[in-house]
Parts: sequence; C-alpha cells; structure tokens
Amino acid sequence: MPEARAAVIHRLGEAALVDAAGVIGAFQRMNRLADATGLPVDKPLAVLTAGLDDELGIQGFYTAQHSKRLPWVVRKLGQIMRPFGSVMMKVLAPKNDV
Amino acid sequence: MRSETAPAFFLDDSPYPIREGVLEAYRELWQRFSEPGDSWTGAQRIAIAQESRDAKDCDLCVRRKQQLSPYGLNESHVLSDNGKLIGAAAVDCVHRIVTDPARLSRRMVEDARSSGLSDEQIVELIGITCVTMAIDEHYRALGLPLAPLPEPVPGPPRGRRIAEDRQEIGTAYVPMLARDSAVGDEADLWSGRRTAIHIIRALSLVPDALRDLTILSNEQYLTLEEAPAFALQPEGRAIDRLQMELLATRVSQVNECFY
Repeated sequence: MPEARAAVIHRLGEAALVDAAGVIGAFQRMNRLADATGLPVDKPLAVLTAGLDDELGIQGFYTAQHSKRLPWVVRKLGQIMRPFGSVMMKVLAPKNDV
Repeated sequence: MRSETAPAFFLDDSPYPIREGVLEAYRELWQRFSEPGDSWTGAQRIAIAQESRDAKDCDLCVRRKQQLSPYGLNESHVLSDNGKLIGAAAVDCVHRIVTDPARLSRRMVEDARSSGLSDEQIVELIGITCVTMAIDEHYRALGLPLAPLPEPVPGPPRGRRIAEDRQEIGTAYVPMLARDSAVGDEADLWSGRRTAIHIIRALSLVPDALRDLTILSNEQYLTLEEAPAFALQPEGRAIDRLQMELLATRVSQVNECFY
C-alpha cells in the first residue's frame, strides 16, 4: 500500500490520492448496501447494459441473483441500442429520475 | 440534540490535503451516529459501528469465507460486551456485510427477521455498517489511523416508522419508501425529484439512514444531481469523472457486486 500511495502521489498528486481513496470508500459502501438489501438493477439500466454483463463475465457473480435476467429479445434490443445509450437513458428513465 | 461528549472528528492534522467538505461530513455523521436512531439507541448504534471494525479481525468470518457456502459452518459468533448490546443476529449481519459482501443473500435478512429484528432495525444497521466502513476505508486507503468512535448520547430509540401503505415491498429484501411517497417529512429524500433509482431508495424505510448516506455520498463521490451527468466534471475534485468511475468499477469487481 505505501508503494501504491507513493505512485499515485508521484503521478497525480496528494489531492488526487485523497479523492481516489474517498471514491474507494464510497463504493465499498455502495456495493455492500446494494447486496445487503438485495437490490435488482434498475430496469432502464438493465436494458441498456444488456449483454454487457456477459461480456464482462459478471453473470457468474453470486449477487447477480438479485436481478432477473432479461428475456433474450430485450437483451438483443438493448445491445442494438447501446451506442445510443446516453440518449436512450433519458428516454427510458422516468422524468426527473435520478 | 447534540452530544457534549462526542469527540471532535478532525483530519486536519493528516499529512494529506483532505477537503473541508469531507471533514465536515465525517464530523456530522459521527455526531448523528452517537444519537438515538429510529430503532436503536445511541449506544447500540455505536456498537454496530464498532462491530463493523471488529469484523475485520474475526476468526469465524475468515473460516466462513473459506467455505464453499457462506452458511457452511454451523457456528455462531462469540459475543463481546459490545456485541451483547445489539445481539447475535445483528452481529452476524454486520460481520457478513463487512467480510463477505460477494455472498450476501436473502437468507441474511430472513435470519435476522426470524431472530426478532424488525425491518427498520435491519435497514438502520445496514446503513450504519456501510457508512462507518466507507469512512474507515477512506482512512485505511490513506494509511491513516481510524478515528475514535464518539460517546453515545443516552435516550431511547425515536421509534418513527414509515406507514405500511407508503412502503414498496418485494423489490428488494427490505421494504423501501415507494417511488411517489417522498412527501411531507420525507420530501427531501429524492432531493426534490419525483422519484429515485433503487440504490437511493435502498435505505429509505429509515429516512435518516438515507440522509446519512446522502451526506457521505455528496463528499466522497457525487451529489444526486451530479451522478447521472456522466459528462460533467464535478467541481473541486482532484480526479475527473472517468477516473472516479474507473475506481468504482474496480472496487465493484473486487467485491463481485453485480448491481
């Protein structure tokens, strides 16, 4: 760890190390929060990232059981729409959703 | 009510330039943890936070993690005086969340319920465990000693409950505030928006647990307004959004978090 910290400081500076460590803390929290409460992936996101889970090999994660696997047709549709993801997210997400 | 005995929580003697906003958030959260919650007393809330630290050195958790199944060992934790404040079921939840996040399942919540914990107690416990761990992990990643936990404020739990007709049941293992139910005293929860994604609503059965999370997330990561705007570079940060998401992805991969 001291070597890793020194490398970050050397390349990016001390402030970057602090903020990077903060993001690590934030996601140690978010991961546990999502999996302790059994959160399924939100549907708009699930559609737009359909197929990405296979590509990343994360369907084998134990915690994938929290989310229902989408039907083949929907997954295929999601793959086709992925290049337009940022636009489609606005369309699929409920208005004013966060 | 603010505690007179809770120690200050400062990092300004650290060797690193930690933003004042982060320091303020941590001090505020420590203060909030010391006070009675909705389902646990201040002493119990601090005991949960302490247990999240003790889990890191738990022999049973190490041996459990080596098992093919997270429930492969028919053993229980030996309770410390701290653990006795919250009971065996709560201790087991905290330890599993901290030490074996990749294998959390519905069974953990169901076991806690069948041991007599209410959904509100479970949600509040998850919130305290995760927030304490997030702060501690920030310290650990920087190589800093952990901040001492505050002295608890005496008093009974406040006992506030979200009415059942405002709860959404079945989406997650625990009930959540329904998408359209952030009104009245809970109008602030979605930051003024009409609805919110699951990760925001996860702790909303106990609104103050979600508020704790928001205080922390605003400083460690992003605000609710900033999070969906992937092209936006958050102000005052020393790393850019792409670097933040890369770190988030790597941590999530290590924790085998599908969400």
